[in-house]
Amino acid sequence: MSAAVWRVLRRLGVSLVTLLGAVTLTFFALRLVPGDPAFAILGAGRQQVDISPEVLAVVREQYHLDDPLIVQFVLYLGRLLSGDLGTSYVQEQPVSALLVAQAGPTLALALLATVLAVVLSLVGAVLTAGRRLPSWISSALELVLASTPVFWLGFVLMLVFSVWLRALPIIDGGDLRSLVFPAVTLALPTAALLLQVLRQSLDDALEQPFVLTARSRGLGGLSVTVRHALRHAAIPYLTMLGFSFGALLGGAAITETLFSRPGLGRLLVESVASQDIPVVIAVVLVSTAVFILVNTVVDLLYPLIDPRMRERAATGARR
Amino acid sequence: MTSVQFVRRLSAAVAAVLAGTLVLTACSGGAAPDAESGGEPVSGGELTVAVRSEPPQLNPLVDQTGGAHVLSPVVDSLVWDNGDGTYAPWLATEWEVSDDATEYTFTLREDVTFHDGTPFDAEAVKTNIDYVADPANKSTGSVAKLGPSAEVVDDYTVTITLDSPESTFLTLIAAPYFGIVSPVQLTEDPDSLASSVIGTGPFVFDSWVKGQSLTYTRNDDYNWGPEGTHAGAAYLDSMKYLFLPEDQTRYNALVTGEADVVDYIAPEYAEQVAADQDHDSEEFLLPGVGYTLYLNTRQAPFDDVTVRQALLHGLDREGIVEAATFGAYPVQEYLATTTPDYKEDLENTITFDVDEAGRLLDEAGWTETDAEGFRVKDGERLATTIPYADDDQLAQRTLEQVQIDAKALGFDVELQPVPASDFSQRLYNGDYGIMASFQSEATGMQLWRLYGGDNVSDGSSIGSNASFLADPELDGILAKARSSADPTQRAEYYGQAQELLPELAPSVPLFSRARLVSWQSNVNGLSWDNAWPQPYLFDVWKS
Repeated sequence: MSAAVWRVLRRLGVSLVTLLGAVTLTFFALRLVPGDPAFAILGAGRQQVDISPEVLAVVREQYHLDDPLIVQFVLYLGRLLSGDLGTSYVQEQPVSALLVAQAGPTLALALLATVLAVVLSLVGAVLTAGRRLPSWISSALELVLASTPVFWLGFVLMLVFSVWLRALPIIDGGDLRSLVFPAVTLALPTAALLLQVLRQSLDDALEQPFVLTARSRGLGGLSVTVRHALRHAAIPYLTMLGFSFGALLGGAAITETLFSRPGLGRLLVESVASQDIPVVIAVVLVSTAVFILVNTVVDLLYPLIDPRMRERAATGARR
Repeated sequence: MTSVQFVRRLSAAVAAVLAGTLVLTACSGGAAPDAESGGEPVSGGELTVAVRSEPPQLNPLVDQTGGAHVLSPVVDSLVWDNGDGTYAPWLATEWEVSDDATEYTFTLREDVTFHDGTPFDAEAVKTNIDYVADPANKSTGSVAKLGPSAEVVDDYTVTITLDSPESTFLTLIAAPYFGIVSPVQLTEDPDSLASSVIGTGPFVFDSWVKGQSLTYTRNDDYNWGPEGTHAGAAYLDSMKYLFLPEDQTRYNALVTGEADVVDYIAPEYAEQVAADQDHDSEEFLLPGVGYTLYLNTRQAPFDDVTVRQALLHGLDREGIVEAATFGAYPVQEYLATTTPDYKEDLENTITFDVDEAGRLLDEAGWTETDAEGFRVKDGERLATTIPYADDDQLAQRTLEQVQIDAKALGFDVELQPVPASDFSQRLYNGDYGIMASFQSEATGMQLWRLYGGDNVSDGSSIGSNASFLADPELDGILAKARSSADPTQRAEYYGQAQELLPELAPSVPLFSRARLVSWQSNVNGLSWDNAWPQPYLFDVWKS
């Protein structure tokens, strides 16, 4: 078997184990939280609702809530393997239909936020790396942005641009304009983190001897940074980017609620609050899959950027 | 000024300043106040209504925990609740009630059709009753609990019989959670109710973007609005409900004009909205038992009625409510003043008297004091716990004030923030010293739901009586109230119950919640649905 195929298979296996782990953890964590799922199914939240024994029995029977937890888990896994994500406790619709409807808006939001974060961090790092005062100002700004709660940032943006300046709508009209707010809110803290990592690696790269060589060939500061140092700094940056995509999915939960956008994040928040266990597990499953996918792509990019990694991969396979 | 009062005033002042800055920053700019609008109603336009919560599904018959309110434009009810104990014809033209309030016979309109073309008749009403009564459909509403069954007398006459008497039944069925749904949808495709609903209302379901909005279009054939509303179809072409769960986002949508009507303006913004020239607003004090602290009478120390009375009189309810709600909500007795059977000339009102509270606690034997200043009896500290949902800020603000006052009495009250799911679990298991919750229903019958000895959770069924009170005298009065079809007699019995409750002290009622609705000045004709207080939008038009 060729080394490449072997690598891919191993990767797939690890991914599947990770997914299974995520499902198992979520299932048991949700069931260990105090609170009878039967109440959640009947919508008996924080108000007192009168429920007759007959109705309670119907629910327990229908959702197998009287079976031991492990039996319920095995039943769930069995259905999952056959591609059935179950039915939402609260919304009474197939979970897969809910996911399909909510995935698009979140994907659009996360992608736009990522693009914004990448552009901001690249431009910021190239302009400030190796320069003392710009670096100092930039890192102060990064510290503030990276530690700003997304929630607060969103409210401030809304106040300034919608309520005061009336430049952007608060309510999602389905166009690109209404995507600006949530995307910027989500992108800023991520951009700050990426910028920090990238500038540090750029600074390191700029101290390497090859930079001196490049300079001696007559290249200017910016040109050296862009054409030589950036490639060196790209690996830690990409790693960070892969991780922060996962954080974006978490941030989406907040921005979607704040800006009243549909999406997986809001679905997750509402489902956790209403103990809609099948939906929560499904959203966790999808997010985990996306996270694995993105980080796999990042891993595959390493050898393209750094020739040393290609060699290492090759020698590793020969062994 | 005692230290408690000082802390309370200070925190109230800080809160007011905070609220003030929020409002100030949120409200610069804006157009000049509009001239008095009005005149002849004009047809056309879309009304955008920003509301707080989204229904999980669109079946009005399943539960009444909040979602059904946005369904009222699509479904009609048999009767309209005038809010003063009388009712007006709607889908039913007249009705007769048996003396013991168990049999209700309705004569129905003959000119009504559902949005799917099905004619509305006695059989349609029966199908709805049957649906609610079948446990398999998991209805948890007030109607289901009464064990209703329906009998078709003729095409347009139907008799509904209840297992147990209920004199407020007409109010219960006037609310949107007993809106009549197409019998075809109920029997042939009940699953479709998860995402669409077919009624007889002035608006037809159009589309639902989950997590965002619900859109309705006008029903051009509509000509059966409740008595007192305009004839013919609605003025608006369409309606769009926007789901904006964040209080501030919802308020901002009013300020920017992106919403025509904003429901549930948070108390922080109440003052600003009232002073605002650009928008009109109105508030409805929600009827029922309001926000109340239920004392668990099955456990020490609240198994002792003297201790319960001590807490009832020892808490400065005015001060607590003022501080926690920014003065937006009023203190109430056991029923909100807007509840139909609220007793106007109540004699046995709750007085704030710290000395009396101290005397009662002494009398109950809590005479010693420990190092921290809490009362002690037989080596046990006078202590209790209040779990509350950790995302409920109003509860937290209120309960912190309760804790301060209780401490001054020598009562150690521990606050326990818990996840919302745990809150309901504890509620049903009775795992708490004090349970604080808000309940609203436009009938005196809520007194039975919350204090009736036969409405207690027992493991197999779930009852709302969170105090676990079982007092034979009160139970007798409540049973008579529920079986008195005569409204005067019913009010008399519920009045007796309100006089008796302060003596039993099963709970400490705190405040009534106001539902504040605000709208742009070009919106006209907004009124209130009294059966389940909420804006009624059929008569609304935009100028």
